[in-house]
Amino acid sequence: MMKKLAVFLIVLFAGMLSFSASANNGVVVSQTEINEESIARIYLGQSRVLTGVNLPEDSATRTAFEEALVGQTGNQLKRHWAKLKFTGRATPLETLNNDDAVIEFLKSNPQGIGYVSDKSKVSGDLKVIATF
Amino acid sequence: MKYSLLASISATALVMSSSALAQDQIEWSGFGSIAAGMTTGSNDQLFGYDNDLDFNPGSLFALQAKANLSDKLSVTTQIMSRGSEDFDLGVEWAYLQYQLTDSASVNVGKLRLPFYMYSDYLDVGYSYHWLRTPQSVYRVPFDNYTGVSFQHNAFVGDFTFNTQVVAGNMQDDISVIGGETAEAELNNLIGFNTSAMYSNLTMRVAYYQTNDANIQLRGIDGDVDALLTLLEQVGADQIIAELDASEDKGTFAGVGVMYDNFDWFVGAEYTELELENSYVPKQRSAYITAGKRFDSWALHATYGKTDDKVMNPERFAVPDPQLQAVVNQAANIVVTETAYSSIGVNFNIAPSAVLKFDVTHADNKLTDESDVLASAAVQFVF
Repeated sequence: MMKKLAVFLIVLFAGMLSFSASANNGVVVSQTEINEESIARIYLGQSRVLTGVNLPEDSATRTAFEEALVGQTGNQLKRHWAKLKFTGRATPLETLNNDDAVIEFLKSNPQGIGYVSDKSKVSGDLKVIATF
Repeated sequence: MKYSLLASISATALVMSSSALAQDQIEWSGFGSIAAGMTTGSNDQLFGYDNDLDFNPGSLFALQAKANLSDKLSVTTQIMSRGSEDFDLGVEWAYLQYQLTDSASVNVGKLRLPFYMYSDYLDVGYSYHWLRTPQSVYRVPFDNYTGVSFQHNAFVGDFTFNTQVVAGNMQDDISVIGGETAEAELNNLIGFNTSAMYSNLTMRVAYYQTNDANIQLRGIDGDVDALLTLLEQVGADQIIAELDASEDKGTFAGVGVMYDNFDWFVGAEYTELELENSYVPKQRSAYITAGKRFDSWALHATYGKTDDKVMNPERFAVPDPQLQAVVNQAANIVVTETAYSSIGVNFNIAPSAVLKFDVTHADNKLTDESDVLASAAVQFVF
């Protein structure tokens, strides 16, 4: 009984994972390998180990990335960054217009990290760090 | 003196950098709150409001400018205009920041003294759920100090630790007895706060102390002056020393916790402030708050209370019963035992603006008076 339940849960979990992966095609990209926890820390302004860049606030890719990998909604992050900005704890991350601008930034910044909606644009020295 | 000099240096550096650097290298941002409130009873008074609709006590505007002088060095100033101070412009923050490592930085200048969980963001109403921070706890009558602050982030397992160590001094006109202002000075102020974040949970401890706290009480209130003169005449210098806040030791300790999974949140804070050998009682303050967020609005409630205690009342003992009554009155003048309950509802009216409504009921256990305040505010960042 327990075993069946466990198998069921694993299948369900895997199904959810593949669903969330297929729902969006977004990837986190950088020239530098980094673990997934560090991604959240960079986008929460807690770590400056790499320089993060964002897509515009109204971008669906940004929303998906923030919910999947930072674990917060846009509204929540906006409040969070307002706190950091007005208390000198962190400088807001730069916002770039689209995938191409992010890719261009990352190619010329080995210490940069960003995310794009289209995996096929990742080339050259750039690596896929995570998917969402 | 040294520290206020530093504050002016950083302000000057900003002005200089604004001419030296291209316009787009200065980051401008700001925030504000337009608040209106009135008490429901004709004699009710609370947080600077009375029975007439007033826009001043809770309204403020702030503009922040930040310039990067190098990769690691930056200068920031925040200019604020508060309705409670007739919208006079004041420098709220002015500091140089040096980034030591990826996770450590040091600030020098005029900074916020981070007593409480929300001290740093006190004026940025947009960033928290209340219309105003709970006045049961957020009641130290000054917000800033000049000096240094060292900040560090550490990651241990799934925990993130944010630690801040501060040192400096505070000099300000603070509001004391009956709304009068007095000169206050804290020297050799040192302390720290650490927040531990684990997923949606944040826990915080803070401790600060000074060995040289002063509040100048003479010359601000006729009754206080009369009492001090009388005590001098009868040779009760010891009592004056016990009442006066002069070169006294002060300590502040606080703990806080907040759980927020975005659907709902619950949090609490408890603080203790003590100013030894002075008329200031031991101030014990607490609140608990909880709320739920819906699509574009939120509902929340907060209960808080103050519970002050005169420490070692025998130090105020005088042989004369009549004089004793006056001394006791002076020793109890700022003692509060008040319970606050409030409910609030917030609406996100734009990505960067929130409309908030709040009703707060204050129940003063010592005077048996109760006051009800209704307020509304639009709070925003840009």
